[in-house]
Amino acid sequence: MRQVSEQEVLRVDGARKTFRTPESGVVTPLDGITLSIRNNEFLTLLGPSGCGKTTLLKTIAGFEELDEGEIFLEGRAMSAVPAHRRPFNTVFQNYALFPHMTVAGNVGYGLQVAGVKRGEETARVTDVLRLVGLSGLERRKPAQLSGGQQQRVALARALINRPRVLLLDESLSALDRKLRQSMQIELKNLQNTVGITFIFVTHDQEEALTMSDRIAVMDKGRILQLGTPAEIYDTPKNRFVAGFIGTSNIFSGTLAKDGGTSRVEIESGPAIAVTADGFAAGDKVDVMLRPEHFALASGRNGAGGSLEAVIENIVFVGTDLHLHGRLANGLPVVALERHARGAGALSLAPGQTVTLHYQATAPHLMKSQAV
Amino acid sequence: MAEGGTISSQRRKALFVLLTPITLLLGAFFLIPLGIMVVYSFLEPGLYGGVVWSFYPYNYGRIFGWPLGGGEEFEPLYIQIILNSLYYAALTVIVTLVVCYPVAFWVSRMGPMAKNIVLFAITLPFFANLLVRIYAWLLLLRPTGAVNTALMSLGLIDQPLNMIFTEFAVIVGLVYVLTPFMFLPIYASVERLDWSLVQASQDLGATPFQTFRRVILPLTAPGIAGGCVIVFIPALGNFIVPSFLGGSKVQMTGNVIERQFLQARNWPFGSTLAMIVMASVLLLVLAYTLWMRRAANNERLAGAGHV
Amino acid sequence: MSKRRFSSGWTALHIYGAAFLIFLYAPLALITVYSFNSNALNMAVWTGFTFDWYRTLFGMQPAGAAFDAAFTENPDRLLGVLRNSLIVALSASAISTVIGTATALATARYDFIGKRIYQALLFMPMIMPDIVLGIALLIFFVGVGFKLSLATIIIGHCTFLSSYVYIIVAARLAGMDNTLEVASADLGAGPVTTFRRVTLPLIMPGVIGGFLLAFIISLDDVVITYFIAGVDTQTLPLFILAMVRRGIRPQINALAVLLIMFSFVVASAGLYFRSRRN
Repeated sequence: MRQVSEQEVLRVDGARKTFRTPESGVVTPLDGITLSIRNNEFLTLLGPSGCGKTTLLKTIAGFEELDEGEIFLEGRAMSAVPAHRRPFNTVFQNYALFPHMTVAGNVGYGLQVAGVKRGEETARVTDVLRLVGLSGLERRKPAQLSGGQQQRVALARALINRPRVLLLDESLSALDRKLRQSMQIELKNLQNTVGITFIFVTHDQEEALTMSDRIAVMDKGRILQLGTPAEIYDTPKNRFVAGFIGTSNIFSGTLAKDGGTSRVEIESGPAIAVTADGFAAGDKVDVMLRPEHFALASGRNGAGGSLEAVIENIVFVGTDLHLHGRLANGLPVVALERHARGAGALSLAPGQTVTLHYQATAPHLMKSQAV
Repeated sequence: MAEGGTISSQRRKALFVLLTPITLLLGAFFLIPLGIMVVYSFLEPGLYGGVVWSFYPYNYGRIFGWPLGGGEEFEPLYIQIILNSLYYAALTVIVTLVVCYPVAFWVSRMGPMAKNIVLFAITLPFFANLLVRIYAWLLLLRPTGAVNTALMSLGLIDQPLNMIFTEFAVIVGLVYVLTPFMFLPIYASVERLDWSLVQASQDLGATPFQTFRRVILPLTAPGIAGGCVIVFIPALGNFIVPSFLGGSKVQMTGNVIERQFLQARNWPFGSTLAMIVMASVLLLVLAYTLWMRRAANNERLAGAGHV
Repeated sequence: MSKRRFSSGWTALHIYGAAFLIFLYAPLALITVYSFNSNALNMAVWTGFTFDWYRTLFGMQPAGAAFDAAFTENPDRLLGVLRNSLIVALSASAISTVIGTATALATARYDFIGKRIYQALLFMPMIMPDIVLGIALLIFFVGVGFKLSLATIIIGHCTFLSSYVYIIVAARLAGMDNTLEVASADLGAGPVTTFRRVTLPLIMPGVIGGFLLAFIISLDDVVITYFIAGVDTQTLPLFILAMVRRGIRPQINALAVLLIMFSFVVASAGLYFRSRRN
């Protein structure tokens, strides 16, 4: 089993890069990024398209240059090292399998160009193909493989060189949903087996939550938050992170403190009871409530609070019911109710007014972003 | 079904209307003339031009040394000229390839605006009159031409270089005239090249040279092959370039054919030489087609396995 | 550091590319400069700017120093040759456009036995060396008793121009969504109406582009015309060929420049139409 240690393997230090495009002038995909990547961890760079995550990956791989800053591998500066001498390997978004070579040719390519002897190459190709579950397909051409098989060949090809860091660029996004989900688990297992640091780029928050040890949420060339999936989900730093990961209800308001209790006053709307450590009365804040934090039945104790909402829409998604409603002041709200067989859930109907209860610890406070 | 019948008869009528003109045109004025040319190559030349209608394979004997008869003798000169023509055509292919390949990469890496302008600029000279383009090189290369005048006024040479009416002049002329034919297919294949494959190769540790030899070159090979074929063919049969820039010193098969038709008036022998040119061309095209079909078959086979 | 390595390769490629463009255009630029050089004895030495060579081309006396009468062309001959060339190029490209377009419609919109044979056959005139096609046509025309004339030149040009037009129009049809034609038929239009109202407007840029490129290829053709023109029919390229064979004289430059300019204008229009999207 792999051990994630605190020991740093890769360090990005003050990375900055700007492009000049003919249409929109200057674009800054990397706006001063500093990031420390630990040995053997699975780190995900998560963000919307254009946030700079792929550019960061490409500068690590050596396909693009930094304008400022440096990348260190175990303390050694990388900027003078061309891509083909860096001990990193990449699984490309479209896999970039050589169409004129067989599966074995693709997987063995890294060993061939390094001058590894034929016998050893064959043995290692066989091993790594077994590892990704493709034994017996050595003689096929990439175009004769399914999307999932191509993905595995790309993985095998990148792993055979035993890179210090494996870079995965949106590597699952070309697969259909079912296959993607099973590949997520396989990829995670594979990482456990080979014990290599993975840096994974995706725009899919579900993928990031499923696989990562840590997630770096990026936007506009900056890292907004770096933390474990649970940290990012439960305690997002700001409205953007909260909105990007999972579904959330976010209300803007002003913090009011009243003796031992605090609440957020929403403009022309209800107040939400919160615990507000580290915030002062009068602060502009965003408060987040995840849909699953609401319950139609009130809690056992009275601590916490509730919101009145009119149901507009009920969406049945199998395990759950999603209730889309509006508060009295017109703000939309989403609540999640576990689907239970029986009359309780079915009695809900659009137009009905419901009370959404939440625990006192549920609301999460974030500093309001100056927009 | 009555309705189906109407549709298919309509279809037949439409096809008939659309295909009759091309069938007549290519049948009457392409296939039949070529067929007659083949027949002519086996006829006996008449005394004052014209032909005698008797089977006469000795035109070929005059070139290849067999079969001989009817007073024809083996003249090794013609083999020499044919081999020379093949050599000049091959050299032209190599030079145009070396010239065009890097340019294709240069253009493919440009922004869309610059790319369109440069592509246009490269295509345009192709439409300037062939004679005019060759004539320009006559002005450049002759003893009192631009190149010699420039070199002498710079003091680099005392005597004019002897460039015109040499192999060099012929090759330069052929390269100049045929460059667009090489450039366009190569450019098409370079443009299609997936640059993530080049990155993948670098990523896996290949040096720039290894990447070139093992990824870029094989993937642009179809364009290279196409360019080579369509440069080789017009180079092989050319007679304007050697007659302008080669003078009497550099002869290609085309010059001999021209003389047989317009001066010596030995049409059967001219047809025989033309047959040899045509046969070389057809063989080359056949080989190319088979090669491409094999590649396409591989891909189709591959496509069928795609899930 | 590696940034500099990348860009130095790119700079070298820029220089190489620029040199390539110079190689393509320098000879044409040289003729243009020569055509305005008043030096009648040695074109490579500039002695002053003149329009004389253009004037002599049209039978006008040189405005500058007195010249030998040999420098003045007979304008009637040039105009006659020009007329021949335009008749040939216009007829041949018009006929070829109709035939090539019809063939492209057949192969693009219908499946029929022998379709691949047609497609292969259409490539043949383009890959056949000019000299082979030229002498084959010569033997044929003489053999069946056609008098070599403008008509034989037009027919000869059609054999290979049809293929050029075919390829350009077929490429356009291949890139065209044929559900548009299905939609037209679905809306009640007959085949002729569908062709006139839907197909033709959509392929029109290809047809015009094909016509213009065919026109310029015909206008510039030397080799095939050379063999099938007969003794008393001359086109512009043959006229230039004869001029050059008589010796290099400055008004050839002037004529060459006019021809280049004309070809460039027509070819630019043709390339523009060929690449135009709807």
